[in-house]
Amino acid sequence: MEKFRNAKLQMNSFSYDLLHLKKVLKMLRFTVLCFFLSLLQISAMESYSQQTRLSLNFSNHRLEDVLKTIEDKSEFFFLYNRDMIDVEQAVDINVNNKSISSVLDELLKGTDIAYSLIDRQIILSNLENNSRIMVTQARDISGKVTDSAGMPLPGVTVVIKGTTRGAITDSEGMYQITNVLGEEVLVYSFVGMRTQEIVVGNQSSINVSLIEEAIGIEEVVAIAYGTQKKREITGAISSVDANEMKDMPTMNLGQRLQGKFSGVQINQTNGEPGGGISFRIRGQASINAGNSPLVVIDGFPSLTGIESLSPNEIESISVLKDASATSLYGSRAANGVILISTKQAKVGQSEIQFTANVGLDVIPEKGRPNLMNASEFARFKKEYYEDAARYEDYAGGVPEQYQNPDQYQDGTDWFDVLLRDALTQNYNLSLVSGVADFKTAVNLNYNKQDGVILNTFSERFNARANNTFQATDKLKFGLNLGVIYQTSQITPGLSNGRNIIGSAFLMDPSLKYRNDDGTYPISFHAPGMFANPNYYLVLKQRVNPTKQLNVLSNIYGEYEVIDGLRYKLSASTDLRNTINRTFEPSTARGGMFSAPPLPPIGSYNTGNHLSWLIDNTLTYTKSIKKHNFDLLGGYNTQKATYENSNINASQYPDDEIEWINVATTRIGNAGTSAWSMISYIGRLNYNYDSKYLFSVAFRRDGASRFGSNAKWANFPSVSAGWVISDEGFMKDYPMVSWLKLRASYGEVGNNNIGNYSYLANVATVNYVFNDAVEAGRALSSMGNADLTWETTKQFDIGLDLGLFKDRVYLMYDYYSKKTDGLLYAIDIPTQSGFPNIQSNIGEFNFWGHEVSVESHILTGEFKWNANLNLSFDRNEAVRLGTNDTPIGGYANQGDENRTMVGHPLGLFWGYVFDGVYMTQEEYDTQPKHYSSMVGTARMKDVGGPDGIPDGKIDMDDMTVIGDPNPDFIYGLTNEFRYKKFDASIVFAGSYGNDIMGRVLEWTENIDGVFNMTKEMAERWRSIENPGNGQVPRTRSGTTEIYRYNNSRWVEDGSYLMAKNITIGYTLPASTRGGIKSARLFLSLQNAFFVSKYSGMNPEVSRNGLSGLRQGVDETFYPVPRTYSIGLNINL
Amino acid sequence: MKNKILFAVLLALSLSSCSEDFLDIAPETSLTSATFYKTETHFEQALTASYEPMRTLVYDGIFMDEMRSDNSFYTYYAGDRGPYLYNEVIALFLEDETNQHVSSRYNACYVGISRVNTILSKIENADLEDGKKNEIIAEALFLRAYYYYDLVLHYGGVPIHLEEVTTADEAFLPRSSAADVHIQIAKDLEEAMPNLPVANTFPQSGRTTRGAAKMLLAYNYMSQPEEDYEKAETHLKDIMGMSYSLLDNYSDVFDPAFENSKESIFEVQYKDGDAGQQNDYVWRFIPKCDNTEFLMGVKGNNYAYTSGGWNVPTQEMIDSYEDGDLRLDASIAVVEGVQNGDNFIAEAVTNVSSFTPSDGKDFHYFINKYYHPPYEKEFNTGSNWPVFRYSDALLLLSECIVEQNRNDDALPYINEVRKRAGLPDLSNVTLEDVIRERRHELAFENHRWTDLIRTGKAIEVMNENGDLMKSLYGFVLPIAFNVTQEKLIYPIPYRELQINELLEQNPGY
Repeated sequence: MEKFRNAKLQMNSFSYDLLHLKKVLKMLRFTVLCFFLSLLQISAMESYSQQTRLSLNFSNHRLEDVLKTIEDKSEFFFLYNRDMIDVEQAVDINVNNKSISSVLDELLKGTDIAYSLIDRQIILSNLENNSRIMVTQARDISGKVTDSAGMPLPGVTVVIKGTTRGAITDSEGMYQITNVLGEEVLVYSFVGMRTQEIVVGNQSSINVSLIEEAIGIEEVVAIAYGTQKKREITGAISSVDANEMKDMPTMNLGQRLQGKFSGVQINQTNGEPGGGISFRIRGQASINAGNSPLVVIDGFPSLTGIESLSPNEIESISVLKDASATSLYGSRAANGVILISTKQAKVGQSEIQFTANVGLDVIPEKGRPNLMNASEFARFKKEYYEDAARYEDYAGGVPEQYQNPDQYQDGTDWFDVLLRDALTQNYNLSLVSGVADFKTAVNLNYNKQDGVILNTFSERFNARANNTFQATDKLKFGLNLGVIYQTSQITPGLSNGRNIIGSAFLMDPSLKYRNDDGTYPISFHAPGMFANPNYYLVLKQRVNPTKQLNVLSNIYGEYEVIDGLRYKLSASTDLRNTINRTFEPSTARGGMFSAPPLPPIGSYNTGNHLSWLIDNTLTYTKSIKKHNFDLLGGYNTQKATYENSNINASQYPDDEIEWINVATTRIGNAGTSAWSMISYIGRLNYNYDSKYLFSVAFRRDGASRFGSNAKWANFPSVSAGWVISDEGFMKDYPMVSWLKLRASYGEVGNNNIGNYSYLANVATVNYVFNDAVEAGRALSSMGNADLTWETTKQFDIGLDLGLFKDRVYLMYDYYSKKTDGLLYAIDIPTQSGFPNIQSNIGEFNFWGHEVSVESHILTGEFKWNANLNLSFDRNEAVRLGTNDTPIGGYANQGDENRTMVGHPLGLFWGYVFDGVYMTQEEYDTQPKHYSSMVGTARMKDVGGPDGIPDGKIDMDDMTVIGDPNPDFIYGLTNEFRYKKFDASIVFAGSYGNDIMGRVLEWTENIDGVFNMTKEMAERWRSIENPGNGQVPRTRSGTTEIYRYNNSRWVEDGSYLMAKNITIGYTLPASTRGGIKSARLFLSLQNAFFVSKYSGMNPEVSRNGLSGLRQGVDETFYPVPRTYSIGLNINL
Repeated sequence: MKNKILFAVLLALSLSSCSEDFLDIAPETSLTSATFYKTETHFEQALTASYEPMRTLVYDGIFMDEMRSDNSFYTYYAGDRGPYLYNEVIALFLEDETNQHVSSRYNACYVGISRVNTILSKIENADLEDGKKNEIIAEALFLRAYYYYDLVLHYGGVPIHLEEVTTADEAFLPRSSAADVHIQIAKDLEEAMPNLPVANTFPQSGRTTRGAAKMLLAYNYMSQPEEDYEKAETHLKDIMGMSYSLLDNYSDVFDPAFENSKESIFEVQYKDGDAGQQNDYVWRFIPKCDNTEFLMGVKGNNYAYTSGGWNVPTQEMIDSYEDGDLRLDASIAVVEGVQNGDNFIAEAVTNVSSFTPSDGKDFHYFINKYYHPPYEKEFNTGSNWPVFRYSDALLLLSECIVEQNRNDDALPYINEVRKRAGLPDLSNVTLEDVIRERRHELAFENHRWTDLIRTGKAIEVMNENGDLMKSLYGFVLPIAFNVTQEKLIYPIPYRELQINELLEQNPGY
């Protein structure tokens, strides 16, 4: 929308200034105090022109100043042609509390100016000329603007070329312009659409269909500390508009981003309500310092992660991948940066949008473990005792309940007992209004996800108000305020390691969770098995509510010192308060190995985080002929403090009261920690004619976390780009509509270690003398004053290619990174008294290719857009700690991943399963474990003390048995549109990675202590009855090796998953009830997946996307499929 | 215009006037080495912390020193496969270099040594009064000797660290010979002894004393490759001259009311409650059962993880007591109940000496010495663990004299112990007599395995015991109980060998 405003604001009236100041205060107060006021205000705008009252008192002022004042005091704006309207003429006006039409009548009385009023738009025209034009066939033009699918386009600007006269289309796409001459040209423009020009000629009705601009080369994208036109970007940045994923019925933003970016792996490792998402950019990995990207919300690297935000309050997300894009975040940028921009209003925007969707979460049958039923299990147990009697002189007999296996049928299916179909709901109200000086975007969101596991849920309320206020032409203030309140109940142990279903299904399936009389047993203890609680009661009775309140605020002032030079002072705070309470009644305590009744216990835990950031930035934008400069300098300080407390309670009188006040014993604890950082930043973006692009950036960070000798470090980067398609010689290649070559190099860091790791800490170690506790203290760690950042040097070269008028747009990047000085507690001999020392040691290399293709395959009435991205990430450990000692893989069980020099990170490490010693001869002639006998499991003898097979099976025979690193990951989004129908399907997947099914350690435990897979019936029982050769005998003392980490558990984890399928229908526009537009949609999240992997979730990983320990499946909170229906209404 | 720019720059700078101090954030909830090791209180606290690793030695010793021997075994439980086998393999002589007890004990010793070395390194330049300084040094040296003695006994020659390790490089030392470790122990103890207090008032505080140092030194001389019985005898006789004596009743020795008594020369201290000073050893010793509350007064699941059924007295052990030995019932009790598969429900606790199994009932023996119910909290008891007792000194002296072939000289000492046990005097004494007497007197106090090694009986006794176990229990693999010279010390932990190339593994592992 164009707004005519070529005169400088003149502050020549004192009363005028006061008015402004009052307005500032009013606006601020209103924003901070109440979101609902803005709701009222916006709804009042419906009849703005009738309701607005103005008071003006000017004598002998320029008409232009008066018009300006009206614009400033209201939301009205004027459109006129200076050549035809004499705005320099002096006017008098004195009105009090009058409507706009009264004001205008009064104001224009005695002039030759006429006006017409359309909503907030006032068009001025010349009466004399009008009569003249009438003579020369001037006429009124009206028409409708639609998109290529014929849908009306509201908000399109229609201007008579070379003038400022024009109109904006209404909700029906209709417009009307009066007094247009035949030789004049109308210009139709709209964001995201190709601008069209049409000569009026002798038409009086002009309908226009605008065509979408294929690729938004001119689009503005969020970058570090600012924005940049896509065409001028020289770094590797992927961005996505929130609209692209608005219909997904997910609570967590992360789920909506799956499959959208090249170079970004986003896995849903578990289905816990509101959680379970893991990010990894360009395969980055660290030993101990994590690989989660830095999340920056509206410029603030905050504590509040991506999972707490409501997807509905997001406008766009940029992922900064290479060092030139991230280096302004210096010591925190090595893992990449995710920039989140929340919704801001634009001038002229006025809309109320309400969205509701309701869905049902269901756990698919696919991938559930294939366990024995009650009768099969009883038979196994019977035979187990029979074999013990036969081979081990066991004389205890078969316990009674297993003597007659045929008495049982299927027994209990714990999935069915503990799972339910759960409701998920999301309601969002968005109020956006932008007038000349004040813009506000308010978003209210309520989301509740009932967990598919009984008695679990997560509920979140998000409120956000983003406001900007233009105090004067040069001074702007902004206030962004976000409040998030979350409550949840997730029974602990559901997600880490073996989950509650994973514990429950290991029990004897003949056990019943509910007695025939309707009561519930509180514990189970089948013969030869572990005592367990009744997991149904555990879920029903344990209490674990967590409440969290986040307040994110950002206030800033920006002053334009001279043309193009802006100083901005911004203060941000992030406050997070968490309260968690637990109570385990006597009937629901314990877990596997430990059965109720046990004395009740409870706890009360609080956490308080506060982080603040003060940013000072100076930006200068200047163009001299074709030289364009964009300079940034800044200084910022950030500090974060954390305080926590917890009280553990025991010795409750009974189960009646959950709160800890009734407990006899209450033990409390409290603590605090903090970190701080000072940074200097600088950047120069220069381009010549938007064709030769160049950028240098620099950050210097000082941080409290590092050793006294190494508190400061520098992070520079440089990048360049060349828009080849703008060169003359490219005219010969008309199919190439856009071609840009980019390259960058830079250094960034990772500071994710504990706050005080560089210090030698003194811990409390008490002892008893004289029968009383005596205070003791000892060093708990070795200090390292040289401890400093982990540094990643990254090189990137990329190509952006638009073909066939940008119908196809391809981005390619190659990157190569070297992470050096890894923050790692290197293992040292414990003869020192310490297991390790925090150091900067080790080196990893990463390199890879990324390709993304956006294509507009069909653009007619039936539209088809497809976006594909592929990422090929590779890594290698180059150097590790002392003696290059491998990391991980030091135990027969657990510790499944090993990182070794010269190999990719985090390979699966274990024994190579080689079947069973079927005969005495096989036993006699083959390598053996100390516990080996005929009929036991055999592992391959691949090594010995000197690396040469030695006939003995021991830890020297552990080797690489799998690779959790994918060959490539990919995402594919297809969007279709036909008339009022639209549809999209999002795929994501990975190829070539392995998954270790560690749950098999439990479900293939043949000691009779757990229920197990049906295959375990095929075990070796005697030479005559040797089974399938894959399952060993149950002889005591020989079964352990079958449960060592081994190749039998490793599966191909490649998959293709349909993350989301959505079908939408836009209802015919109706003005009834004030509804501008409405859309109904059906959405299916986690629709299906295709994979050879036999488990439930191919994205599973006990340790998330941790580079060194990924890909282990130990049964997790299952990931639901969500069926959802939604409605979107624009008012 | 320029003024405006200047104004903006100045504003930016003034708002950013944070100094370097902003980056100096020290932890508020704990001290760091920069502020610790300054005052007398600091060194006392550091010394207190240096006792703490002894508790780990006791716990691992339950398996490595007692269940390893013929005194006790474990009750087989199907659920204790996989990760929990590391207890069982110790008893079966099937442990390898990854065994958790083996690494835990090794680590704990060096944690203790490191705490002591830090004290010794820092105290040199600390501003402390000389007398106090010497007291602290003496106590620290005793502790270092104690940990090295535990190491040399269980792992053979180990790296000798005598200075605080402050950089990674200093952490790499090769193994010294066992003889050198013994020499270092003697050196530390000889240096410490003059400044250690002599126990005169009872109950004692629990800190070490000159008596404890002499006891340790005697053990050290008698365990080193070239035994020095003469020196050992001198120190043991010094102990006879101190204020120690036997309590009247053997069972009182283990009564919490008599902790740190005049019979105690050194014991590891515990206290029940919520301060984290408790142990749970007796919970390990009682049988795994559904109704632990019947035995303990409070319920605690003891089937797995914090499980029971370990260190269970063998029938052979019970049978080895002489008739009328008062120590039998004080040391061992029996619980009768109903067994269903692996599940057990306790019904009665009785004396071993008068026990005859009832029909249809099953029973389990368990160690009675540390059993003082009812308890208030699960897995939380305060019983101290005896390390050196006066009766131990008497019997060690007997052994020392017999080893010097002056058998008759040993009679008064051994008979003093027998008398309290309600047994007749011996008229002549052999090494076997002393070993048997120590077995019963010090039963389940983590002495038996190292006694067998010191007296050269381990291979013979344990192979014999292994044959017995194999004949009794079908679940014992044929390969088990292959007790050779190499099995007399444990392996150096796997992790240490991986990290420190200077280390060599003990033969046989």
